[in-house]
Amino acid sequence: MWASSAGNNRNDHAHVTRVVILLAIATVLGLVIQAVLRPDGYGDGGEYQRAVLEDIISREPLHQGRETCGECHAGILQTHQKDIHFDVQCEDCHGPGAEHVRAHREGPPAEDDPARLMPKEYTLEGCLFCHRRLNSRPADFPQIDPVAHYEFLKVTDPKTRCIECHDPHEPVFLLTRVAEARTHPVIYECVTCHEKRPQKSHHEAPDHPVIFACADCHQEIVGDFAGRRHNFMDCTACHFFHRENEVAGRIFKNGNRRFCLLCHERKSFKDTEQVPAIDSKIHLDEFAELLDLDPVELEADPRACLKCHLKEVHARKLLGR
Amino acid sequence: MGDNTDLNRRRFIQLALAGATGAFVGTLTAFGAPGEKPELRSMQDLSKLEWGFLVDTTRCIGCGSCVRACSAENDVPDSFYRTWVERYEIDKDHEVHVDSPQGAIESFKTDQCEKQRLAKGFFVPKLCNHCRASACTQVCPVGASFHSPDGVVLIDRSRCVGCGYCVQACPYGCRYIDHDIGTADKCTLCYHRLHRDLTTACATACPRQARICGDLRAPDSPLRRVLDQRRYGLLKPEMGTDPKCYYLGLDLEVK
Repeated sequence: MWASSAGNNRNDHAHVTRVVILLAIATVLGLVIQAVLRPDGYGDGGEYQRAVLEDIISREPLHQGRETCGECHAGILQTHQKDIHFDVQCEDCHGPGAEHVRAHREGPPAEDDPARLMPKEYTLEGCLFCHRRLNSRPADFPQIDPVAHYEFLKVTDPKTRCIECHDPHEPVFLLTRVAEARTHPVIYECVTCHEKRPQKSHHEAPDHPVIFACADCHQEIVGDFAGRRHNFMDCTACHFFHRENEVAGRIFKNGNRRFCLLCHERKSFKDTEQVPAIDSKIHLDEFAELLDLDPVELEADPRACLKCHLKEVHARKLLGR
Repeated sequence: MGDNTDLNRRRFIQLALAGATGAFVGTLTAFGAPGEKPELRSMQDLSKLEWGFLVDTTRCIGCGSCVRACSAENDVPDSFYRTWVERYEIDKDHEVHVDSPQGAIESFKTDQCEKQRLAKGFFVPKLCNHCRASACTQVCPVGASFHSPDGVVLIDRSRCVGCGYCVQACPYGCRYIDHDIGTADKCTLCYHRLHRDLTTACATACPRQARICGDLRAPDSPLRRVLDQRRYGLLKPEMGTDPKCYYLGLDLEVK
């Protein structure tokens, strides 16, 4: 039995050898086929992948960045960089600028070249992308409910664009020069105590600790103001608080003509029955004649309204100036 | 003496010609077309980089500027998005409402959940995670999806057959089939911009600085600095894809 088993050993190996040979042939054949079919330089980091990467990077960037815009529009960029929209890229509102930049770098573009001008004005919807009131938006981000906002402002046309009143390049402090702002000894920000800006004002929280109100120090002005026609407004409607990231408190005063006209200029979209409205040019000319003033000088005076309408606001002599 | 002068003259002419040619070529380079194609860095240089991305969900206001910028920059076909913003609204019964109307390309128009019912709400921008162990590149039958040496997951359009395996494999839903050209397509991390030392279109466009793209290996890159200081999370870490898109302020409900 042992002998016969040993005698058959050579035959037992035969099928294994055959399989090994077949596998070897298949491997070699496979390698040859791969070598023939595989493109040159294929593989991680090889020339083949390089060609694909070359192709991908050949795409032209469309968004140019604000530095490029500033090469020609330095003035606007400078204004824009000083106000709260400084982090909003030009191209967020105006659209990608590649075509516009190319057209102007090649020389003055033709009148009918669509790339000559960028889309200039943003629709109402455009501003609302960021500023529409949504429950999920961070509460410390400025946002409005357009319906309530227009109701408050007595705006009749719901399609009125934000840029009728707000300058997108300097939306907050447009109407007051920083030089006019005065540092203020006591200004509390909500975030001084709260980690996040609360959604409610402290007046609405019944057990809120007492914090300074304007009347605590400016009793005379606040008392005087209570008897005037604008008394439905908060002091901060005209006297802006400081910017969020400023350490020292600043009060920005707004008594200038353009500020008054935000509400009182006659506009097609405004309800003139509830808010007295004027055509500022005609109005000023009339008064220049009446008071025997130089109309050009009056036109240039930022405080022209206050010449007559100081009584609508509050007594000037109490301002401590 | 005469020979010497001759030689000097010849040498002078040679030098002058070389100089003039150099100046001419130099001028061409300096004042060439502004959008000229940059030179691709060598593979060794590329492999020293590792691009990563960071999204700060606590800063996002859901305005959709990133989506609009991405779609314009990369010519993304309508109804597909390489980046999109999801809104998570969790009501007082702990029910989660998620929506992203048209990828939030026009932001959000209405609230899903009334203010009284809402416990918390936030926005989560999404994009390709450029995973180190990506599922999408593994399943590609023709090797058209690949990792670039600097860690960006890209598609070779000339090889892609548009079978859609990768679209199904990606656990984050970041790929789509571009029916105009019949291949899969996805976020390239604005690879064409990175090579011009620009950041991605979405990070540029974000008005709240909620997105940062940067090199994970550079110790002083803005991305690395934030990652070293803040606590971050990853999307679906249990999938084992080892994503490179980090999220600040990520909620457990975000999938």
